[in-house]
Amino acid sequence: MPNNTSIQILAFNIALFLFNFALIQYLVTKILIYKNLQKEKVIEPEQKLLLEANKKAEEIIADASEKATQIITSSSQKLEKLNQSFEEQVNIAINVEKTKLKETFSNINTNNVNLNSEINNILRQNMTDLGKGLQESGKISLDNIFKDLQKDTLQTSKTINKKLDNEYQIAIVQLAKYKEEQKSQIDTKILEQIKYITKQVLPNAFTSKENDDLIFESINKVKQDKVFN
Amino acid sequence: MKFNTLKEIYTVLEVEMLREKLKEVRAHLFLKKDIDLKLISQIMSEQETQLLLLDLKQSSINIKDQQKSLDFIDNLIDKLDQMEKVSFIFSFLPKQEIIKKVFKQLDLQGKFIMDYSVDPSIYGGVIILKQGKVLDYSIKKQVERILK
Repeated sequence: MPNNTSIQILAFNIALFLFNFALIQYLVTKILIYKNLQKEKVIEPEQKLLLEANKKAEEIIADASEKATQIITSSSQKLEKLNQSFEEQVNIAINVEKTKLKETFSNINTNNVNLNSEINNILRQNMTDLGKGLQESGKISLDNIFKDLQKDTLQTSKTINKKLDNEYQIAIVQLAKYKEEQKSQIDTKILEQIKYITKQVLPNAFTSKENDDLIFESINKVKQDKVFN
Repeated sequence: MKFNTLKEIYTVLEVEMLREKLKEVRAHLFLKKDIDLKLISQIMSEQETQLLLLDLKQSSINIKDQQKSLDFIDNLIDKLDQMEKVSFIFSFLPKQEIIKKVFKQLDLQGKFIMDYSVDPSIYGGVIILKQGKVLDYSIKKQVERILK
């Protein structure tokens, strides 16, 4: 399909060619007239003929211009028709392509569903086959691997246990030391607190009767110790 | 010989007072021709007077016998000075009845005299200082022992 611009350029070129052609004819005629005039200066009778020729040349140019204008107008009209036709053709082509695309997508979707289903079936079958294969062929090798693993694990476990025992023993000693230190610190603090509380409470803690009783408790101990015997 | 006069003496203060009284009695007892019993009762308490006369009687001393009576009083004063002192530390000032009770329980009458003092920081009980030894029966000591 030719596009609008190329058609317009073609029409313009044609019109330009016709115009140039008429112009050249005009100039040629003028030159001839000029030459005839040169001759008329010599030959007077030919002057009349030159005037007529000039008149004819002007008429020819006017005709050429008119024809050029007609051609341009005609070209524009044709161009409009061509444009309309082109748009119609394009719309038809687009609709056709749309319909085709819809069909294609629909087909692709259907095919995709089918393909998925097939792939799933194939995969399921393959997995089942693979599982059976592994069960059969891998049973012996798996047993061996398990045995090796158990052996390695046992060895590793023994090594780790030994290390852990050592660490554990060290930790127990450290913990005991720490406990002892903490206990000592706590005992000191508690003792200080009790001493403080005792100092605060004891001086006013006993009644006169209780004080007497405390004296005689002490005296009984003095007797038991036989201090005065 | 145990003197009855000394049986009711418990403290150093009482010893000193009794010594002063005995010295005064000794100084004034025979100023007159006969023994002045009225003077004794004026210087000493009734109980002390009775105990002194009881001791004279038990010693078979005739109170009209001036020299023997004065010797007896000197002997008594010497005895007072010879009584062994024992220091007691209490947490509060003890009543006389408590001191008597302590003497009775420990059977100290006539043998020891108490030189007591007060130290509230022992909280309770008693500390005894005897012959350079410290026998601590105080509550403070018990608390310290527990806290150790």
